[in-house]
Amino acid sequence: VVSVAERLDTLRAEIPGCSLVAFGDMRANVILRSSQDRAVPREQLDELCRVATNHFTGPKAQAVSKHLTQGADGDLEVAIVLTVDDTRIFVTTPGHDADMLCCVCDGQVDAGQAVESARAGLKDILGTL
Amino acid sequence: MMENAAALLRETHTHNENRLAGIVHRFATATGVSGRVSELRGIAALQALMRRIDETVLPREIEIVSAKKVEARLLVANRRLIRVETGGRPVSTDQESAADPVAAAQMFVRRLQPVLAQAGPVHFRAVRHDLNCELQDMGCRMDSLSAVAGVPMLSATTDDPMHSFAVWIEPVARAWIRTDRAGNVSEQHGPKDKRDALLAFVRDLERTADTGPKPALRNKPSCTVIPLPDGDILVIVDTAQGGLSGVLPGSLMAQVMAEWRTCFRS
Repeated sequence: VVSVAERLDTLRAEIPGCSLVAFGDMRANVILRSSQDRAVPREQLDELCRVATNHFTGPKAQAVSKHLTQGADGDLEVAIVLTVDDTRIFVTTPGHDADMLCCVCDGQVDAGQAVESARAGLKDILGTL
Repeated sequence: MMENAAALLRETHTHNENRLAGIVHRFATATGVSGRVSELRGIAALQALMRRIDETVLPREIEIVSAKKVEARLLVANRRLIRVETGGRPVSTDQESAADPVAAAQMFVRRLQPVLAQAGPVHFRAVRHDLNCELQDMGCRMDSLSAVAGVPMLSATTDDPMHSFAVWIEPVARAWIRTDRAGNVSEQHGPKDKRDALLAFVRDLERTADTGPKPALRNKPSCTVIPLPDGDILVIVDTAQGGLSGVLPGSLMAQVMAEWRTCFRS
């Protein structure tokens, strides 16, 4: 059985330009496990978890649901944040069962492909827990 | 060719006359939602307008909207200003003046400068226009207008990446709104119901601003793309100077991200 840490390492390796993969709990607002190519301050990991929470269950998600989904069924499951430095991909599961996975990649990443890899990674991780 | 174009313009004008009351009414309603107006005025407004025209290839009707009404309506295509309508009176270049870009520019500047000088804060609203004729020799280019008005043009790419991004998404977005640093709406596009929904969304985000990025990150431009349940994508661009929110077809996700990186040179 592949451990969470091993799956995160595998995921980081299979996404070109990916420097960090983190698995977290949005309800507890904490990153539970991460894989990175260099030391990352705890504060930065906390910030990733906070951004994910905001997009999937927090004020931004609520504002989207209230004004922009036009009654369509389905939750927000993906958010991609581009900055001048990197691309941050956040995925969660249908129903928002608190679990989220985040990948920090360079600006050249194929975001669509990375999203699919991240979704598969999260599914695998949840299958091991 | 020019006769056909003139006839088309006359038809458009009549059609637009009928729409004017509705447009004013819709804008009044929109103002009631936002409660704010842009600070774009005078020379800055003219510069922004010239830049907008200079980047517009497909036919567009651009409205100059003040807090009170639609002050002017412009027909623009192929990077040229073709017609200016103020006070219900249109003026466009005929064959003779079109051959003389300075004369055409002078005619338009005489109409535009008083409007922009007296209207107070304005913003622009662009709608698609079905103008199907050869436009190569009509109207005037913005270098001519700039020279006649004595107002230099600004480079969009270097001066305002958000503007460049807005110009790119305008033909493909279902709707978008742009706000300045204070949250005032400076540009908007798309059907009223979608614009209102976006504005309500932006206002909700403002109310919960304390949950946004940390202060140190707020000055860095960012672009958030969120796939919506109906297949569209929500695009939110934040900069220190303001924001842009738009809804686009989901099929454009990769292009949106590539274009944002091009505009913001990351």
